Amino acid sequence: MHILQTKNLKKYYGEEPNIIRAVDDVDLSVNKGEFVAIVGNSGSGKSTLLHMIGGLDVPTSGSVVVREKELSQMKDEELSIFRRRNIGFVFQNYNLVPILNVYENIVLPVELDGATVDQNFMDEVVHVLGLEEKLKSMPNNLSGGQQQRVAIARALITKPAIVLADEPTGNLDSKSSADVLGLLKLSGEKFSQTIVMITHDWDIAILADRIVRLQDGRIIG
Amino acid sequence: MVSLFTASTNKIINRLADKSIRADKRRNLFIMTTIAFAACLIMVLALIVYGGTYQINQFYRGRFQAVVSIAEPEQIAALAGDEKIEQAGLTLTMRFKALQMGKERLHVTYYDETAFRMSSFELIQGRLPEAETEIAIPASYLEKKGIEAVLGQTVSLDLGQNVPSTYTVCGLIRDEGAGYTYEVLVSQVLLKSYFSGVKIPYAVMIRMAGSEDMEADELKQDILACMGKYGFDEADIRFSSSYFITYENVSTDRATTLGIGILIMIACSVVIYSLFYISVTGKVKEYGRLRVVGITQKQMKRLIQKESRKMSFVSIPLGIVCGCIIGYLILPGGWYWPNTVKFAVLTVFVMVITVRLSIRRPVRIAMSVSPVEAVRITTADTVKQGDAKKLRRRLTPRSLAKINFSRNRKRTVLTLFSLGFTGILLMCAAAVMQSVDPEAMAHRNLKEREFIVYLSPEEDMLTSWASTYDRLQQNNPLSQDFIAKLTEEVQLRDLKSIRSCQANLFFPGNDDVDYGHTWEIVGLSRDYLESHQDALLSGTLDYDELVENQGIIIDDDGNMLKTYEHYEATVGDSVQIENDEGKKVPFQVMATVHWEDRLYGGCFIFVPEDLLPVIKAGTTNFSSLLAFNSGLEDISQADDIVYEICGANPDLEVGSIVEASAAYEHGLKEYMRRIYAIVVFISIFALINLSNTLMTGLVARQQELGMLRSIGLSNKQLAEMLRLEAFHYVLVTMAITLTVGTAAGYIFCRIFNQVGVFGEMQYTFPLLPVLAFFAALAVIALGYSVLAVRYCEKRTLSEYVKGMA
Ligand SMILES: Nc1ncnc2c1ncn2[C@@H]1O[C@H](COP(=O)(O)OP(=O)(O)OP(=O)(O)O)[C@@H](O)[C@H]1O
Ligand SMILES: [Mg+2]
Repeated sequence: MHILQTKNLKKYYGEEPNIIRAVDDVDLSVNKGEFVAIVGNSGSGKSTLLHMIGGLDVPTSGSVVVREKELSQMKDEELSIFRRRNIGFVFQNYNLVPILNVYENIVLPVELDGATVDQNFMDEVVHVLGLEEKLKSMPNNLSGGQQQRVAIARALITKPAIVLADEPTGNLDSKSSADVLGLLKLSGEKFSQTIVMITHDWDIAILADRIVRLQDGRIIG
Repeated sequence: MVSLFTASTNKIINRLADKSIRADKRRNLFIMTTIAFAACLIMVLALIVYGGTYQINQFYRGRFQAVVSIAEPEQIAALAGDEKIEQAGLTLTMRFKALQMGKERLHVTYYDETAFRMSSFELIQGRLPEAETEIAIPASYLEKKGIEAVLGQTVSLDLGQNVPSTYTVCGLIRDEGAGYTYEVLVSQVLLKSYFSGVKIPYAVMIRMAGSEDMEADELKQDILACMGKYGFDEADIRFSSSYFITYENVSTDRATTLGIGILIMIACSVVIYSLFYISVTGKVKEYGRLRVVGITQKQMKRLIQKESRKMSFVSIPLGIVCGCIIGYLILPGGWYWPNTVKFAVLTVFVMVITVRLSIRRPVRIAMSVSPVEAVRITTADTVKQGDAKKLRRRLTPRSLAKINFSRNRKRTVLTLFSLGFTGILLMCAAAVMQSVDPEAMAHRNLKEREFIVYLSPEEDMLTSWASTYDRLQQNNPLSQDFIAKLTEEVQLRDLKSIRSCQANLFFPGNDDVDYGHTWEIVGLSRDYLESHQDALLSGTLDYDELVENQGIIIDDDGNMLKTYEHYEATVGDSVQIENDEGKKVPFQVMATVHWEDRLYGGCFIFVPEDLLPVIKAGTTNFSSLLAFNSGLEDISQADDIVYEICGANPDLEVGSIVEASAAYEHGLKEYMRRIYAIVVFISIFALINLSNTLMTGLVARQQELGMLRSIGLSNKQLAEMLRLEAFHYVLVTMAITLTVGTAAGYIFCRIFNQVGVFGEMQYTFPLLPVLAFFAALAVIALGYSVLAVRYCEKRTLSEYVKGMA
């Protein structure tokens, strides 16, 4: 069963003759519980693809189906709720909300959903990511690696079916990278989560169940 | 289910709003100041205007409405006992005419305690006179005469035979400042000896119970009916003109308030809008992040609305309290709790609406932020492609400043809009104010001459105005001799005169009532009618035809007849005029006209001059007003002489260009102060906006400025760049002010000129106000660059680069 499927997915920028085909006719299917790594050169369309899969960006044409739901059919309200319940994001540039402290940043998606935080799970995530000491800090007082770990915690806290990660280890040293990846895999297995991760680090890519290579917006194997 | 969900997420939205408010202190300070300031302004405005009206109403609440002449002072007891009459007080006036003392005139009157309370006078010291030799007098009169104004002072006054000639001051009266006229209060004993041997003209001042909400006409009828019961008829009753006039002129104030209120709302909305707009566009990235973690559009909307509500919650009450304090300090006498509460509620309402409307678009922008914004590098400050394409730009502090100035078009335009709005407003107000010529205004009211002299018989409280006037005209002081004397003494020239009489008129529909209003009826010459045929609106201006048919001509351009008589002039109607024997003579409306002639401004009813004797058989000289210039070199010398000549006769009133322009100038200054106050308030909004734009620009660009610094932009260059950026705003505002503002000011002057409220106006460029405005702008721009550079210097480069302010 495919938890995630794209069909003829395209994203073009600009107009002819200067058109940029950031993503061009991508058909990608991911099974439930699968760990997929997307690799490719800079500018090959990895981020664009990921954004569309996550419903952050709207395709020029084609469809994205997540958990049997066609994203483009959803209204914004519905999509927002669907996203915060089903998809966790981790970006290279952390994307923490600067006015909230670490704890608040992590629980934000849960609270936006009007749900209560699973405290045991929260403790576990915080412990694994080594953030116990930093819960009351503000994001701008953290190092890059620490900020990234907060972002990962935030992505995991809702126990999403799919975790989308764009170079999650891009700013981390190899030790931290390994930790983060271990955690991702662990939680993936534990909650049968599907993980789609962009990376340019082959050491990390080979840990994935499957590697998708992208070039000029197309999958090349 | 849905509401449960909303309730549980309310907490987080609430917290986010709180955090956001706390995180963005500077913006919030600006917004809250703006809201509070606007609330304060609206409150002060309402309090002052309505406070003024309230004060006037309060003042007139206790005033007399009519005076009834009685034969015996004992009759007052019956009136005072009537439950329809709220108050009745005894009064006694010494003369029919005022006592002339050089330029000054004295009214000598006795009031009992009640009547004194009902009159508009006030004792500032002492008490009312009781003994024959006691008087109460305005301090200003004594000072004018070089006498120290203290109680117990002796003053010599020639009040005629039978009475003493020296008096002791037992009370000082507040001076109402009515020119050369003063009130002298005396005792009843004194007046009794004064009138010894003749019938004493006692009168009762009355005020009806429950009259506050009555229409003027209703009240008059009420008084007539009530007095009828005691056997007084219309001839015994005189209505208080000041009471009935103030009754009517409150509505203009309300219109002005509304206008200014709306202006404040607009100015305030623009600022709140642009503050939120700037803040929202500056936070696109942050909102994008919230969207990534799944905030819905509805939640986003609630978040921003909550923020604005939280700020309003603090700043509106704050503004209202400040407004109340200021309003009270300016006009303590106008303070009235129910009004204040009403205005406070109204202000809250207006401000909530204003804020709501102003944030509508910013909310929509925030709602439409796409989650991808979170991962984009540049956000709000998009440079237009066209600009960026010019690859080879010389990069200097100057050009960088220019790029920055134009990088967020919308923000720049918003700021310039409110600055320009202020500039234009200022230009309009200043141009009008500077172009008004008090002397021209005075001229207009003096029938285009330097002097006017007109009949003004002293009203006594017992005789009707028309018969008082008749009596004077039968022995008309505006005689050929009088004109000859003026010619000799002040070289009178350019003489214009009005020939008219005063009579009671009964318009169609009112012919069966017992009393008519008194109107001036002007006689026109054959020549005048023949040369002014183009003024005719309907009917005929043929002199002989008019005389033959007893025709009257009506000019009701100012709608006076419509307002006061509910009569619309129609050719063919019959109007009855009461002649000097009290008989109603039928006249026929034969023409409606509109004279452009200033001479007849304030006159509405005309007849061919040969018909004047039909109305007043006992009058031969119908002159009622002379308007003339003086050939003397020194106008103030002529002024003195004219006053001296006319001052000898208490039945003549003088208007002179010297006095009138001084009065207009005084009034104009008062007016100017108020208008400028409003412009200053509105400019404060604009300046808040400018400061916010500049500060936001600075804070939002920390990272970028840091980058520029790190690649070698010196602090001096940075300062230059920031200063130039600020001066761009100043320059463009100047340009708008000078072009659009000047044009608008000019047009306003033209309009005012046509409407004619301020008389003839010569457009004058308001140099001084404009310079002041530019100076204020320059100071802000300069202040900003100094502050900005300091702010930048304090931060280390690494702080810049982290970009986390
Ligand atoms: N908003 C945009 N407007 C125009 N072109 C864009 C936009 N966003 C991305 N592109 C273009 O789309 C192409 C793919 O971009 P994308 O960010 O997906 O690359 P990537 O594979 O993630 O690269 P990297 O590894 O450097 O992050 C690039 O050529 C980029 O220039
Ligand atoms: Mg990328």
